[in-house]
Amino acid sequence: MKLNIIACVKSVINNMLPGSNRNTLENMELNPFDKPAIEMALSLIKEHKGTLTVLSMGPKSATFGIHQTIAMGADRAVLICDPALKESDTYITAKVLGKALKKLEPFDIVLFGTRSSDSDTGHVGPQTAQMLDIPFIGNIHSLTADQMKNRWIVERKADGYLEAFEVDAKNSKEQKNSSVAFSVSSSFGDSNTFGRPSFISLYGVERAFADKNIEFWDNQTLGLKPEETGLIASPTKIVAWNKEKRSKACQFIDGTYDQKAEQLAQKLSEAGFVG
Amino acid sequence: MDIFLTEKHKIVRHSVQDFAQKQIVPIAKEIDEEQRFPWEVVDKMATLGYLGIQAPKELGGAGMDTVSYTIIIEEISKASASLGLCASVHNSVALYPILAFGNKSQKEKFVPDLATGKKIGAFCLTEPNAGSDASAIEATAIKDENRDSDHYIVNANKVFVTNGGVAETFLIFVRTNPSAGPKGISVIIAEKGSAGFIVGERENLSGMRANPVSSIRLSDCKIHASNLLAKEGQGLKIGLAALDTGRIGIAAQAVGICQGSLEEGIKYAKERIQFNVPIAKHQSIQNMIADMGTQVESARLMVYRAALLKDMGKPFSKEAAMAKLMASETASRVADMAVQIHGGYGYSKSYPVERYYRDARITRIYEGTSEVHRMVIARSLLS
Repeated sequence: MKLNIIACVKSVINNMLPGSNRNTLENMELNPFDKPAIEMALSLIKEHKGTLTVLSMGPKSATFGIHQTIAMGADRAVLICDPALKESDTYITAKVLGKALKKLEPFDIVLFGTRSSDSDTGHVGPQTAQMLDIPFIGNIHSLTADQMKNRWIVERKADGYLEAFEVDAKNSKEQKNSSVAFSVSSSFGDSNTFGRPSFISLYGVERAFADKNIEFWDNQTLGLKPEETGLIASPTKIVAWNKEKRSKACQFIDGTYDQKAEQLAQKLSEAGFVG
Repeated sequence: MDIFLTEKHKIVRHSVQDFAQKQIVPIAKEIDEEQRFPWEVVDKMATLGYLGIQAPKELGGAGMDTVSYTIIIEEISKASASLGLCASVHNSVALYPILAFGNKSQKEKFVPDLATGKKIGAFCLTEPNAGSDASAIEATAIKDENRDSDHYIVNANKVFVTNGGVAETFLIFVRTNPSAGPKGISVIIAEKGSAGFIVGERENLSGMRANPVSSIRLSDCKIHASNLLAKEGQGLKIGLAALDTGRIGIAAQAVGICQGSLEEGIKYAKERIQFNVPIAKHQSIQNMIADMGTQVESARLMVYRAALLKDMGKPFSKEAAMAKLMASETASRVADMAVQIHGGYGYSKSYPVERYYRDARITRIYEGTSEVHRMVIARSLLS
């Protein structure tokens, strides 16, 4: 069973200079929450054979993160890049990705990160699945194929429980294939033979720049009008965006050493840092 | 700084930083203190291509340019100069001369194992009585019985061999014609395990302690004539070409030490409170930080320029010598200032600047002392 996998990823700003929100090649990298999706895709391909296509929407400087995914092992990469897409919200992003995914059919699985490190919504994965009318399960850390039944068995952790699901690849009306979408937990690989942490090799970097070119698509490629995308079309708009003021307060714990240790452990537990 | 770096160079830096931060930084202190060569990390470096950076892809290398090489050595050295040294020497003075001067069968025989890190390489020029004056070497390789023999009998006593304790492929500088002076010097590729090949004691050095710098002795060691690199008498030419490239690596290593010292200095200056304020608020500390930052950037620019010239196929010997002189002298000064910022703590092994200080010192000595580099530069400027 060869798999056609598509991973939707984002390049994020990792280091913003004071007073600037400019994204440049200097300060962009692959969203760290997308890395597990790429790793899961690569481990599935190692097992089943097939291809990994990376799909992203972003400015030209987003090539940094895309090249990273090719260096990790992706076979093909598409960057949807159009000035009219600027300031699209998650709904429009999902709509654009949905259009692009239709163009990339047939595929078996679409993988997402659970969220992005810069905007942290976690919307795009489920919204895109909705656009395609295919099933979506979030935050999975394990994915195995039940090949006889065209079915996937997935595991995820939620609220202290380990959940397992079966999900059938769905064939919606307009689709050329049956597929299913997941977002991949950052805990993927902790117990995986693929082995984390994985690092980008020089061979991978060479490959990313030697014979793999990023395909650039724009609104026209997807049959979208400028007014259907970007800030104008977005149902949600950012009206304020200020750096949070953090205040540090020092708390003192009194008592004997044992009492102090006990209280400290309790406070850390209550705050969710331990336990 | 990054104005002439391509997106590819930036991804190389990002990837190496990620690796160094997660795999080298956590063990850097321990491997220095215990004089341990961390095979578990070096094996990973090999898998990632760090031991065949510029070797062609068809021979197992990554096929990258000199600027990438510079970036990689800089970033590894920032985490552990001992490991940066291992990679620099392996790539530039062990592997590179075989690529540049080896014949087809030598390249096919030696390069794939070196480029993929299955074997570590070493460069054996220095002897107890031949340091800066390389032409004074006493090692000999004499053809067995008659000149038509297909074997050399090699006798050599080499010291301060970087990677010596772990390497398996050695470039040995010898006299094939003891009466021909500098023109009688040649390079023989020796392999560990040959009868008469002895790995000596590991040096107990002040810095670079995770690298098994050792002495190497060849005692009536019989080596096949096909292991002669290029032709008899070309040893000094090979040595100079190797050291030109090697200088860029050592200069990059020095820049890595500089950058590490600068970052540690800044971090500590912001944390340490004296006279009720972080010491970074004091002008004398600010002056040190400003000087350190400026000098690091100057050194880095010179190193990258030498690497760029090499990639462009232009002469780079003088520029590499200037870069090595500048970067190594800067590393000593900047590491010294980082210790000064740390005060008494900088003199203790609790902080990495103490290690940077020891590691920086040797960069002014090996692969050509600062004095020899001044000689090379002056000769070039006065010619």
